[in-house]
Amino acid sequence: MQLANAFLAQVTVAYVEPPLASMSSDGLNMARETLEKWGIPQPGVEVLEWAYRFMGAAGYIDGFHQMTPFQQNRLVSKSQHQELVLPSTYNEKLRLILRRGDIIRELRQAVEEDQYHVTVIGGSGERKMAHDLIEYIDSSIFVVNNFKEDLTYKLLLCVDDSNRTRLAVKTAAVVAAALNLEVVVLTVSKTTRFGPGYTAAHNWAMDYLAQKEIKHTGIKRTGDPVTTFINEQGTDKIIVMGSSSGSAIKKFFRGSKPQKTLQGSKSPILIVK
Amino acid sequence: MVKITSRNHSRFLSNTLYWIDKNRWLLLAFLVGAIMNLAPHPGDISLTGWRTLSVTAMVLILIVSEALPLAGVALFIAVAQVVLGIARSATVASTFMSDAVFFIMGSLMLAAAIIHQGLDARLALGIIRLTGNKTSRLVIGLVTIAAILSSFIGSHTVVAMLLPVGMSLIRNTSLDNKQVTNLSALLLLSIAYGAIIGSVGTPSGGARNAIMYGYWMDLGFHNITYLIWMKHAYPLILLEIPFAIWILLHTFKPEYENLDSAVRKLKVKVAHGGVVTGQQKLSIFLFFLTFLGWITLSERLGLGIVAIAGVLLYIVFGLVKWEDINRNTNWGVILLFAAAISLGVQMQRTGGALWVAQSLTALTGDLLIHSEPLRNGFMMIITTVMANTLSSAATVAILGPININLGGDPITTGYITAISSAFAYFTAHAAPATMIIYSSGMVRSSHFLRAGWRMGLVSMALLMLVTMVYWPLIL
Repeated sequence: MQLANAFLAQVTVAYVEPPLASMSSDGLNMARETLEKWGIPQPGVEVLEWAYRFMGAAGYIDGFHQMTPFQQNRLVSKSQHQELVLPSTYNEKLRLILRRGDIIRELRQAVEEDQYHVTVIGGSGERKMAHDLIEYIDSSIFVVNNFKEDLTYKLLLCVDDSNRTRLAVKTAAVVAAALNLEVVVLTVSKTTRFGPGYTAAHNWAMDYLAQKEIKHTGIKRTGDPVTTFINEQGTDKIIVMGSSSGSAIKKFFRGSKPQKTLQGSKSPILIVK
Repeated sequence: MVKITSRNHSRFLSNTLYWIDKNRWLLLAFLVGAIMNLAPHPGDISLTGWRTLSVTAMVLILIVSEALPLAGVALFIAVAQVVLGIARSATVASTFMSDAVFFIMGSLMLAAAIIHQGLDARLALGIIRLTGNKTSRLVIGLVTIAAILSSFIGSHTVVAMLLPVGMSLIRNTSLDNKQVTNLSALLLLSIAYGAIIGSVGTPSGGARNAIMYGYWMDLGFHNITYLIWMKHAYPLILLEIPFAIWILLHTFKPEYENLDSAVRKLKVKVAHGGVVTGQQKLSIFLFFLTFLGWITLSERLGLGIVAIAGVLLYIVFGLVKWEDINRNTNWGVILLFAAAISLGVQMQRTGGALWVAQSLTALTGDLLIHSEPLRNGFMMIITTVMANTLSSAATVAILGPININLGGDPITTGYITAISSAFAYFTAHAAPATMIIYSSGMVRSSHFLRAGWRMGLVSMALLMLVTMVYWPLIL
C-alpha cells in the first residue's frame, strides 16, 4: 500500500485459490451454495477481509472508521473472477477480488485485463516460479520476502548497461522520494575492469538521484553479480533492478540475473519492467 | 522502429513460450498419440485395437493434467474414434448414450434437486440429537450418517450437505484454524471418508458404479439389479465404518474431547429452520419412490430411466426449477463419462483391453490367471493406486474393460474394480468427496495421506475378505 501511495495508484488485493479438480465442480458448487446459506464464507474472503481491515486501520482507506460494516457475502461474479463489494462506493482506491486457478495464469490474466503496473506477491525461491513471475506477467514484480513492517529499508538499486536499468533508476527515485528512503547504487562487474557501459550507467544513476535530491551512495564491486547483489542486500535493503531484455528462449533455459537474484534473495525485491 | 519490432518479437517469443509451457501436457498427449499411431503396431493386436489404446493413452494424460476442459476431452474421444477409423460415427453416437449415462445424468440431477430442498439443517439437528456433544460420538455419527446417505444419493451430495455442519462445529470451537488442526481434520475427514465408504453400496452411490454397470450391460449381463449390487456391496460398508472411525480417532487426536459450546451454538443456528416443511416431506417421499423404482423396476425400465423419472417428478411437483438443476449439474462431467464408456466399449470390442490384460498376465508369468486371490489383490492395488492419482470414475472407465479381461468371473472383477476405485483416500484430488473437503481450506493434503494409507490398506483387506468369504456364498 505504501508502494501504491508512492505512485498514487489504485490497489487490487487478489486471493488466488489453487485450481480444484473440474471432475468435482458440481459438488463444489453445491457445497459453496450450502455454505453460503449457512453464512460460512468461501476460502479467501476472510483473508481479503483481513487485508481490508489492516489497510483501514493503517489509514490507507479514506473514511474507514465511518463506513458500514464489512459484509462477507457481497460477492459479485465477473467474467473471470469474483469481486467483493466494499462498504463504501467512494472507496475507489481499493478492490478485493477472488480468482481460482494456476497462480501465474490468473495473475497474467488479471494484469492483462486491468493493466496493473506492479504485481506484489509473497516470496518463492523456486526456479520455475521465479522465471514465470518475471517472464509471463506483464508488469513490474515486487516480491515481498520476509518484509519487516517496523524496519526502515534502504533501496539497493542494481545498475548495469541493460535496457531497463534507467526505468529501474526512475522507479527507485519515485519510491525513495515518496517514502523518504536512502538509495544505494550498486554496479557489479564480473571482471576487475569496469567497461564504459557500466561506468556510464552507474554515473547516470548517481546524477539522476542527485538531481532528484535523493539521499544516495554509490558502490562498485567485482565478482559474481547475483551473489554480490544478495550479499549486499542483507536483511535491511529492498533490491530494485530492471528485468532482463535478453532472449526469451535463453532465459527459459539458462535464467537471467533478475531471475537468479529473485531465487536467491531472502529479502524484498522489486523487478521493474 | 527497430526497437518496436525487436520488442514485439521478444513479446511474441515470450507468449509462445508461455503457451508451450502451459500446454505441455496437451502437447505430450498428442506426441504420444502420434508416436503410437505412426509406429508399427505389435503383431498380436489389431490395428483398431492399437489405435483405441493410443486414444486411451492420450485421454489418460489429458484427464490427469486437465490440459483440456472435461467436455473437451469427451469431444476429443468422439472425434478420435471416428477419424482414426476405430468406429463409425453412428456406432460412436450409440455408445455415447446408454442407460448407464442416463443413470449418471439422472443421479446427478437428483442430487442437485435434493440439495435444493435445504435438508442440511434438519440433518445437522438429527445428527446432534443422536450423538450429543462428545467429539468421538460426533465422529461416529458423521461417518455413519455420511456412509448410509451417500450409498443412495452419492458422496458429493452428502458432503455438500454435511460440510457446513462440520465447518460450523470447528468455527464454533475456534475461529483460528491453527488451534484446532486435528479437530478440523477429524470432523471433515469423517464426512469425506464416510461418504466414500458408503458410495460403493448401490449403483446410485457414484458414477463409477454406473460405468461398471454400463459395461456389464454391454457384455450382456442384464441380470445385475440394484438389489443384487446392494447384496454384494453393503456388508463391506458395515464392516468398514467401525474401522474408519477407529483410524480417524487414532490418527487425529482432537484438541477438544467435548464440543459443548460448539454444539449448543449449532443447535441454536439450525433450530431456526423450524419443523420439516411439507415440501421437504414430499421431496423425501419422491426420493424414496425413486429408490423403490430402482429396486423393483430397474430390470424392466433400466436404472437410468427410473433416475430420470425421479427428476421429472421433482420438476412436475415444483420442488426444483430447471435452472437450479442446470446450475448444479456438471454437463461436462456427464459428457466425459459418456465418452469414457464409449471408449471402454471400443477397448472391449476391438480387443485393446484384452491385449493389455494379456500383456499384464504375461508379465507376471501367468500367475494372475491361475491364482484368484492374487488376481483380485492385483486388481485392487492397481485400481486403488490409479484412482488416487487419476480420479475414481475415470479409473473405472479405463481399467474396467482391462480388469474384466484379466480372467475370472466378469461380475466379480467388475465389483472389485468399482469398489476398489472408491478407495481414493490418499489424495485430495481423487474423489469429489475429498476435493470438496479440501476446498474448505481447513484440511491439508498431508492429512489425507496420514489417514488415507491406513484406510486404503484396511479397505483392501476387508474387500479381499468379502470377496473370498462372503461372495462365494451368495453368487
